Parts: sequence; C-alpha cells; structure tokens
Amino acid sequence: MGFLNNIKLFFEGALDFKNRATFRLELAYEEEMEEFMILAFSDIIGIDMPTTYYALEMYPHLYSEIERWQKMSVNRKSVWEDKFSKMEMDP
Amino acid sequence: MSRILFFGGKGGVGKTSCSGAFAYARASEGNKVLLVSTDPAHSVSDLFERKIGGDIVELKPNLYATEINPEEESEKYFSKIRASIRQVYSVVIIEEINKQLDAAKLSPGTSESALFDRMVEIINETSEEYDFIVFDTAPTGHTLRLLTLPELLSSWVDVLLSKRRKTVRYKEMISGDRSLVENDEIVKILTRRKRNLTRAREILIDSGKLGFVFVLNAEKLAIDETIKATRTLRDHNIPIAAYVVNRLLPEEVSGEFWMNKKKDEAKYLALIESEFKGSKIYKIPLLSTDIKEAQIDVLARSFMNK
Repeated sequence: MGFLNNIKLFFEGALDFKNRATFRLELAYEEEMEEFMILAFSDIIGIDMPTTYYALEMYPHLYSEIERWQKMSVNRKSVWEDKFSKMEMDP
Repeated sequence: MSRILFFGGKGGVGKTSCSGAFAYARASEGNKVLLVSTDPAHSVSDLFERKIGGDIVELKPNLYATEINPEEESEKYFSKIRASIRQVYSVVIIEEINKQLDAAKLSPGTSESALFDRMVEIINETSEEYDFIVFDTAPTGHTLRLLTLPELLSSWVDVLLSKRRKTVRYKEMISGDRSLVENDEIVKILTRRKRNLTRAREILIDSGKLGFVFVLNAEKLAIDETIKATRTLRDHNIPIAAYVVNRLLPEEVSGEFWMNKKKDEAKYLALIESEFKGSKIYKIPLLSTDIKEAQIDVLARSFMNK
C-alpha cells in the first residue's frame, strides 16, 4: 500500500514538475525584476538618488516593463497579501 | 600615467589663480599639463584671457586647457538617449519618453552628474597623454561629493548588472532561448558603464596618482573649513597633496591698519603650519593688481621647485 502510494506521489510530482517549475521561475523573475526597477528607477516612486541621471539611458529600453511595473504597483491592494500568496505554505 | 590633482577650497580663496599658476609652473618645467575647469563662471577663460570651451586647447607650450559645461554635456547625453529610441516605439510612446527626459533634465542632480561623467571621460581618455591633469574644482562641498561618487556608482552598477543578468537568465530558462543575456541592451549599457567606472577608479584610486590640493587664505573661516575638509578626505582615504595659502601680504607694509593685518596673518600662518604639519604648504603672495595672464608668471614662481 505504501509502495503504491509512493509511486502515485512520484508520478504526481514528475507530471506537475514543468508547471511548478515554470511558475517558480516566473515568480523569481518577477521578484528580481521588481528589485531591479526599484534600484534603477527609484525616482519614479519618489526616492531621489544620485544615480537617477545614470539610469536615464536605460529608461527607453525598459519603457514597457516600467509601465507594467507601475500598473502592477497600482493594482496591489496590499504588499503583504501579495507576498504571502507567493509563499506556498503547505500544511 | 598622469598625476591627477583636484584644487579645492572655500569660494573666493583664489582656486582659479592658484590652479592656473600651478599648471603653468609645471608646464614651464617641461611637463605636459591639462588644466580642466569645472567652474560654471568660466574663470579659467577669464584668467588666461581667451575663450576655452569644451575641446582641449593649447594655452602655452605644454599647457593645455578645457572647460566642462554641464548643460552642454547633459544635452549631449539626452540627445544620445533620444536617438536610441527613434526606431523602437510608436510616436505616442516616444512623445511620452521625451517628456520624461525633459523633466529629468531639470532635476537638481543632473548638472553634477553630467559634470562627473565628463570628468571620468577626460580621465579615462587622457591619462596616458599628460604628466599632470589639474582640476580647478568648484567650492569644497561639491568636490567632496564628486570624489565619493565613483564608489557609490560602482556598487549600484554591479548590483543592477547582476540582477539584470539573473532576470534575463530566467527569461532564457522560461523561453528556451539561450542567447538573451549577451544581446540584452541593458546588460550592454551597464557593462559599458562598469568598464568606464572601473578604469576611472583604477586611475584615481589604485594608481596612487590622485591628490587633493587645498587652497585657503590666512583667515579663521578658511582655516576652519580646511581643517574640517581635511578630516573628511582622510576618512575617505583621499590623499592630500598640498596646501596653498593664497594672498599673503607683502613683507613691507606700513600704517597701523596693515601692520595689524600682517600680525593677524602671521598668527594664522603659524596655525596653518601646525595644523597641517607634514604636508607641503605653498605660500602665494597677494599682488597689487588683478590676476590676469601677465601675473600668472609671477604667481607660478611660488610653485616652482627651487
């Protein structure tokens, strides 16, 4: 019984792998991307750093990503809700 | 490789005359010298009585000069950015980006950042060519910020580069396209900045060729400020090459007023010599006329190695 259960779990894990892996990759990507945005374009959220001038040359190349980041920020109701839902807390 | 010297000091102490005379002195000894003015008031142009501008011009044999105009430099930078977006987006988005750039141009840090960029460029491009690069810098506060910017900027670029590489690598993993990282525009931009900054830091910091020269007068305020600034530079491990006490009264003064001033001056001079013991202290005389081209020769003699 235990053996069959393990086989079942094995197959569940193996088949689900790609989706979970991609999902995790996308989460990781989003998080790194957001940290990059905050560091590079802090002036957009009102934090003026001496690096602002130097970030300007990157601005045109990241225009669409900045827009997406701004939209994301507006739609977030609460940062905590966002962060907690990302942490898969299995019982 | 060049000896790179920054002349700094309280506003009005005579940095321009002193840095000009110093540059002149070194040039007459046979060194090839580049004098760089960062003063928005074009005082070096006034001093040598000729228009200098953003290119390097020859003032006298061995003595070259250039001015950094932050407005022009930032305009060049923005033009390059505007040019890079022309093919990429729709007209509406280009308009939007241009508006953002126009707003950014007016931001307070822009002038100083543009100045710094040009400074780094000059150092990277000319350090093999000149024996001395002399910066006639703006008053003390700005200079200190300028000298600590390389470190801050380097850390920032390093972190951004590592994060960007990670995000693009994630994209590579998700999409299966392995070529994304080297072709990413942001990675290219950041790598180029990192290279320029690293080279500038090597020249400024590792080579041991950087030195700060404080110009002051024999007056209480100037001395106090110099003592404070010395401490700040020492905290940041920026080497101090020399102190220049400018506008010293002539030996022969008459009348009670001037005798009193001479006495005070002697007192302050003694204070300077004790506070900055161990460093080279140049003494530059007060001349009876304004300092123009003809007087630079006279001042330069005080900077010559006898």
